[in-house]
Amino acid sequence: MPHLKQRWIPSLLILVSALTTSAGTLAQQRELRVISDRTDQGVLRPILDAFEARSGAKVSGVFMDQGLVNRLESRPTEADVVITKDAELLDIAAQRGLLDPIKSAKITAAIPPEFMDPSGRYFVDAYRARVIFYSKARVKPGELSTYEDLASPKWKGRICVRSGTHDYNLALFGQFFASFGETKAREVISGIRDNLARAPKGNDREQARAIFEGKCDVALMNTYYHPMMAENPEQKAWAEAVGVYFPSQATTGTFIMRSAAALTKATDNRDLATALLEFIASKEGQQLMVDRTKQYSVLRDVSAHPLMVKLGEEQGLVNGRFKIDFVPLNRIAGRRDEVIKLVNELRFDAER
Amino acid sequence: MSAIRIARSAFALVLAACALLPAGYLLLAALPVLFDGGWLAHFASTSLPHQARTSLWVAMEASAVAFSAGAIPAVVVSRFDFRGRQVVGLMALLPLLFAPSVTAATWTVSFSSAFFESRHALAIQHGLTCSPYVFIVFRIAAARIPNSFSELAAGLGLGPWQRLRRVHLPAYAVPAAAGLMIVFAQAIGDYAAAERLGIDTLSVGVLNLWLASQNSLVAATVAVVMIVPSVLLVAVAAWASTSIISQNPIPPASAAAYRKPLATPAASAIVSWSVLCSLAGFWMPEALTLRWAWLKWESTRFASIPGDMINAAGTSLCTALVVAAICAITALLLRSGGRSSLAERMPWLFLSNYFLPSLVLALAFVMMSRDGSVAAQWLGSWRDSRLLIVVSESLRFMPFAMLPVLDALRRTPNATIEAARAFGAGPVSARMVAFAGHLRPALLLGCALVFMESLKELDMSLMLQPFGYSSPALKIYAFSRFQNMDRAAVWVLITQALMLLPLLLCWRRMNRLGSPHTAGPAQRAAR
Repeated sequence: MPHLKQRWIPSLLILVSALTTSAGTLAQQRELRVISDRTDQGVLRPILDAFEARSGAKVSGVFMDQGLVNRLESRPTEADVVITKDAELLDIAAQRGLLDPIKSAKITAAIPPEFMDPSGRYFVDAYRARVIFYSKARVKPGELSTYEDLASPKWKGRICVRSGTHDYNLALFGQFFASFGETKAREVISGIRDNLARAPKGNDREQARAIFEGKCDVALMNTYYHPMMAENPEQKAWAEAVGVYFPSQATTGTFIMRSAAALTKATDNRDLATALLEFIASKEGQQLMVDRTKQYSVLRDVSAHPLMVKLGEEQGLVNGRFKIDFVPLNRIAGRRDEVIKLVNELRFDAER
Repeated sequence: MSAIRIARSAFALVLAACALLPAGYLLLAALPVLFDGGWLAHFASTSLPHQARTSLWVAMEASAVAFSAGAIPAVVVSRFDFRGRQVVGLMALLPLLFAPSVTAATWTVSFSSAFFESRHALAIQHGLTCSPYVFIVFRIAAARIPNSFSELAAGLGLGPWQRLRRVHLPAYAVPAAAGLMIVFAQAIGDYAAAERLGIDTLSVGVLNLWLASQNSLVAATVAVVMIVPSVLLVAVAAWASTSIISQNPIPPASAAAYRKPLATPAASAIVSWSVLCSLAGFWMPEALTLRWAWLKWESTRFASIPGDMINAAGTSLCTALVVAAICAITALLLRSGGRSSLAERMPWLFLSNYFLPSLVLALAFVMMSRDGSVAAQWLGSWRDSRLLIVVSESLRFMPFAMLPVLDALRRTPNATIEAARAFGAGPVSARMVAFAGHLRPALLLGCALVFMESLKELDMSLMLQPFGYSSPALKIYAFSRFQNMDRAAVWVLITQALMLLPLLLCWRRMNRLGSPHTAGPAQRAAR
């Protein structure tokens, strides 16, 4: 037995030494913390992986698409960076004093002013349009025109949309309020509600599926879902059944949804956090963003994804470029409660 | 008053405070603005009445499904012997392997009929999800109701319908009430499945208002419409359980039912019924899941599976252990120094957490542990670990173990403890010996159920996850929200693999009910 013990001691020492060494190595690697309402499995991870390879830092995250601002409010310094698919949330966070100003000449130089928070607390890292998807079989592009037109009786029982209280629709309806004025916005939202083919349900892709299955003829969706569905063998048929129409191109323009990034109140890793934001704002980061998210880059010299450039060709758009009805975020965020109450009053989500 | 009585009352109050902590915190947060004509008034005057009505309809339909799929097989299995009896028991428990949101996702991805997106489909899903619990409750109750009652009634000349009305239905009133509580809590508190199908229920209304406004005060304010009724309902249930039921105690196991043979056509009918119910609740979603996992096998990231399995199993095991420890201490104290209504009623309050949407519960923990709060200072770095997930899940799933334990306690006469003391056992060991027969199986069964529910739980992991945390439930969510159920399938199977052992434990426990191993001396003598 003593002999056995003696044989174990060197092995144990080697193991402890190896563990200590690896722990030391790990301790030397800096860790950047990101909180996001995107999923780890989806579009964000390749961008974070690229930053890890570039910086040598480890990026760990909390990925939660529900209650992001509340978590940030509860723990303002647990993450260094916050990245969201809905910039309006960052505007709310900024108004609640949860973000620090971004001090980076690179970001200021790269990001166009309209995509930068006037106080420099966040910037829009990409955008997509909230457009009309229509059935190629049952709707001609000429029948479509504006968002307001969706409230007309000709679309009765033909529209599909996700929940009226979802961030995407709140942002869209908020832009209705800002662009059309309150009275007209109420009329349009109420008209769309009256024309719904079914109770709002599912996410954006499920609206395309409903068009494919003949449950409705048109749906309000974000542009990037078309190429994403086209790339998915299970959803390719949905993409092929629908066309993409950019509303209001002859008048005020199409509304956009913005994703954004910001610094939290945590200061320990400020240099690394700023470096990640600079990477996202760089041409390389923006190209990754376009490739992975199929959004439009905020940098003018980063072209749209090849699958996006064909969208809108039927209505004469070239290279996927379209006219934007640009509504500054601070004009939407202040009216969010008003929009929520209207959606509730109209019982937008109720069963039909 | 003896020291033990004071300690017991104090412990009971601590339990009540723990049980009501999240709901109480939200109520206190909402109180200053509750009646100022803000969000609550808006909610009450717009969508609330319709959403409450939808929730009630869904809950009632779900109850009918759960009782058909769970209670009928349970009673037949308890009262009759027939070929396929154990198969019926297994079929009834299989839906435990699926979370309702996963079943909802499976159905909606696979079938395009409008029915699968209707509130009836939601009710069927909740009913099937709850049917194993209804089965367990009725199985335990039915095994204890002696045949002699019915035989006596028959001897007095009562026909089958009169016996059903005057003997059987009153005898099953308690398990029926317990089953209804479970189904209503599940159907009213659910968010994920209802949101998936687009059914505008009360919990969807409450949570959508919160998520849209991103304002925790709005959430606390509108959640009051769920918190107050659920706490009141549970308080009434606690009073009823300790007053009415205790005055008419369920006969002890020694008077348990013996099983009569069942005619072959009837046996075939009940086996077929069980298989039919399990087709919708388990076999069909399982077949689809297996097919998707097979199709996506090559693109599965196997490297992350062991870590996620250990994470999920560790969290669920910790949750089950916390629940077990609290139940054991409760049992020990409740049976010390005579009966106490206060001490018997307080643990019931945990049930109120099961009526609340788990996201609301998670929000309460996020708010309570905010930077600078007492909880954050007290917990230190533990706050940013998985501890909060374990604690919140323990509070939510506590009733699954606590209620069977309270039931087992009620069936253990104090005389047993006194007898054990008379034979020289110490105060603790006398209780351990006296309760072992009833309490240990109840605790094991409860902890197995808690373990399984914790593995399936999503919302609290989503809201309270620490950095770098990953689990199969989070993966399933991440994939299924983009209709990629094929990529989620492997993670569903991993969760099911972790649940197999506790499921078999439940099945074994159900099979042993009323068997010669568990029968009392009187029943064994009768055999």
